[in-house]
Amino acid sequence: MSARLVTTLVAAGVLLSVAACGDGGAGEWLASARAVHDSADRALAAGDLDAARRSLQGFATQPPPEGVGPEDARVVRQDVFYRLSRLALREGDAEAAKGWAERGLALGRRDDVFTANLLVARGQALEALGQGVEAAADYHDALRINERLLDALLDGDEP
Amino acid sequence: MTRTALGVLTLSLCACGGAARGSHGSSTSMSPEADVASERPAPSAGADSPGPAVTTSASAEPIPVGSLASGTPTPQHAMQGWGEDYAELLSADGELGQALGLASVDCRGARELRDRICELSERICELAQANADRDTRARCEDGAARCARATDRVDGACPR
Repeated sequence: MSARLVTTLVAAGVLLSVAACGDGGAGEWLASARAVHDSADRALAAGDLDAARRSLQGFATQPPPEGVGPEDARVVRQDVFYRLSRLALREGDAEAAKGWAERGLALGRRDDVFTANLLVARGQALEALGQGVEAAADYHDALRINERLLDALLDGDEP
Repeated sequence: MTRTALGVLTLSLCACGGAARGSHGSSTSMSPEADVASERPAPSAGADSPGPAVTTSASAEPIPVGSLASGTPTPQHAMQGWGEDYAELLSADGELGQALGLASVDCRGARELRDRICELSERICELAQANADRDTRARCEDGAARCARATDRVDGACPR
C-alpha cells in the first residue's frame, strides 16, 4: 500500500475518532496536519525546500487544541518534527536536524515508529556533526524499538 | 501496510476521549519518509474464534449447525456418533486455525522491521570501526545478534 493511501486511511481514522467525540477543534487541527503534509509534499515535489519547511514549521510550533488526545497529539507532532529534521539534513543543516529531532523526542518516547524515526534522524544528524559514538547510541535505541515492534507483530502482543 | 492502516483506523475509532495507544506501534506516519512498517496482526478468525457453539460430548444433544439446522428433526439413531464427529471436526478446525494464524502474520511488515534492524546494526558496526569506542563495539555486537535473531524469527514465521 502506498504511503499516501496509508496517510489517507490514518488521517481518516483519526478524523473519524475525533468526529465521534464531537470535537470540531481537534478535527480541524488534524485536518490541518493532513493539509500541511500535502503542502510539504507538493513543495518538495517542486523542489521548493523552503516552502516545505515553512509549511511544516508553522504547524509544528502551534500547540494542538483541546480535545486532541495527548498520544494522538504526540504522534502527529512527532511526525512533523521528523520531517523537519529530515528536511534540514537534506539541506545540510545538521544542527537544525538535530534540534528538530530533539524537539520531537521531547514530546515523549514510546516503543513506536515515531520515536524510532526521530532517533534515527537524530543519529544521522549526530553523524553529520562528527559525533559517531552518540549516533551509534541513537541507532541502537532505534534498533531496540524496532525489535520490540517486530516481536509484538510476530507474537501479537502490545509492544 | 494494509493492516497497519486498517488497524489504526479501527483503533482510532476506539480512541474517543483518550489516546489510540494501540496504533502507535504502527506505521502511522503521515509522512512518506516514515516508512517503517509495524503492526499487530489482525486476529485470525480461524485461530482466535472459539469455534461453533456446539458441544463435543457424545451424550449431549448436538446443536444444529449449518445445513443441519434446517429440516425435520433427525431420527435419534442417526444422531449417534455425532459427538465424536464434532470433536474431530473441531480438532481439525483448530489445526486449520493454527495454520491460518501463521498465515495471518504480516510478513511484509515483519520483513521491513527485520531489514530496518539489520540496517541499523550494520551502520552501528561501521561506526564502531571508525570509533575505537568500547560501548560502540558492544552495541555493534549486540545489534548484530539482534539482527540475526530477527532474521531467524522472520524466516520462521514467513517462509518464502
